[in-house]
Amino acid sequence: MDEFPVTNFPVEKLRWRPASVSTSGGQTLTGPGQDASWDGGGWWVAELVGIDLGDEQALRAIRALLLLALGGVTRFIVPMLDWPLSPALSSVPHGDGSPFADSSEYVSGAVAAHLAADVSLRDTTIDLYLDPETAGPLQGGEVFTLVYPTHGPRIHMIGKVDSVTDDVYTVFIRPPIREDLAAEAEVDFNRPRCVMKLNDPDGEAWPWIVPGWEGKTDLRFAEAFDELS
Amino acid sequence: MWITEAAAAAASAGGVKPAMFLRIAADPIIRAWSGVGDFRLSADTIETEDGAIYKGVGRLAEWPAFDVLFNGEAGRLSITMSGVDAALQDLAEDSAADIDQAACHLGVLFLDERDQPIAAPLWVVEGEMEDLETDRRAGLRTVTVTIGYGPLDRRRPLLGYWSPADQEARSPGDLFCSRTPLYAEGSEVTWPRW
Repeated sequence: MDEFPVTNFPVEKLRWRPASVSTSGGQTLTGPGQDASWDGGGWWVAELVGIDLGDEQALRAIRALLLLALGGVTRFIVPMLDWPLSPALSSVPHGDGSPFADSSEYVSGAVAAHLAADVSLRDTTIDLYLDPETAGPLQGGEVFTLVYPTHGPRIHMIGKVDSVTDDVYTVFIRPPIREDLAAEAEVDFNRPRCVMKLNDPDGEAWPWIVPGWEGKTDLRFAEAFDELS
Repeated sequence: MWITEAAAAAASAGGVKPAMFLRIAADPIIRAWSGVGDFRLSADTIETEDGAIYKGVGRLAEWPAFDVLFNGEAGRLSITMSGVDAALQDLAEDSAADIDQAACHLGVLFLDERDQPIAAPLWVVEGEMEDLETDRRAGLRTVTVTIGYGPLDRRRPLLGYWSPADQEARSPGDLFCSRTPLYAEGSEVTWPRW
């Protein structure tokens, strides 16, 4: 599976959100109605709005990618570009706590984290170990990727930290775990990425070319699931 | 009430999260549920395989309304599913003998605030496959399964009489109705004869 080179296409606006489906019970006589949620966990949707295709190189690249995407049949691994929100420490001193001669410290490295216990399909409360040398405490809102044997990399977001014991965090996540995983599996806060497909039923992602060979386009991705079994 | 108390309490606490399941015991068995991703069910009276995986998005296109049947009614419902699914395509192209009267079940369970099932699924509809048709329009291919449920074998109801002869047929040697001919006005059902 190819990785969609999102970083090659600077965007004006970027949004990742867990999509969900809910049904309302209708407006009631005197107050708010009731709602029911039908998605059973939700799925990821990414919107990349206002991709600037200012030169021939970018135009060629996007056309090649859209050709590969086949109107949404081909799957890509889409990186989330959400690094500012990772729990990585902003800077790290030397081992004895001292900085460099100019009083700066190491730029933060990779967050080291792994599952502290086995997880099974559709778990939403999981234990994960976070190396305190590499990352600050989790607060909720962080995203990470788990790489599943058959479903590939999938993104999960931390909704709530239930408890912390010896750097093992018990957290509530959504969407639910997609597949069984054993303890010690890597929890990748550094490069969140997800198996997705282009959501473009009308071919709107193909850029209009305006005089001067400029173009702009929007791309929308949705998390891809097993349709074939 | 067929919802467990725990499920009812969770539902009344706000935020109903139903999950619906469809199982068609054709070959291969079609398993689908109303949510996203995979869902694993334990074996119960309907699901024979422990840990069977129900597939989420990409199968069910809609969820049918169904009636609660009583007094010997029979019902019929249609479920439309994505027709690009390999298992369903296989089913649609299968010979009729393999799918005719395959057992179909619809189940429901409720999820708690952390998306965990509150109780095992309740199989609310037990029926059998009556019809399967595919629909193909530009950009859309669906498979519609028609399920008959309830007492659908179209036999006439078996009537009985409160006569000694019928009672003898029901419970040999029982004299419960032996004096009902005394109440009969004008006619008495005498058959069957024992």
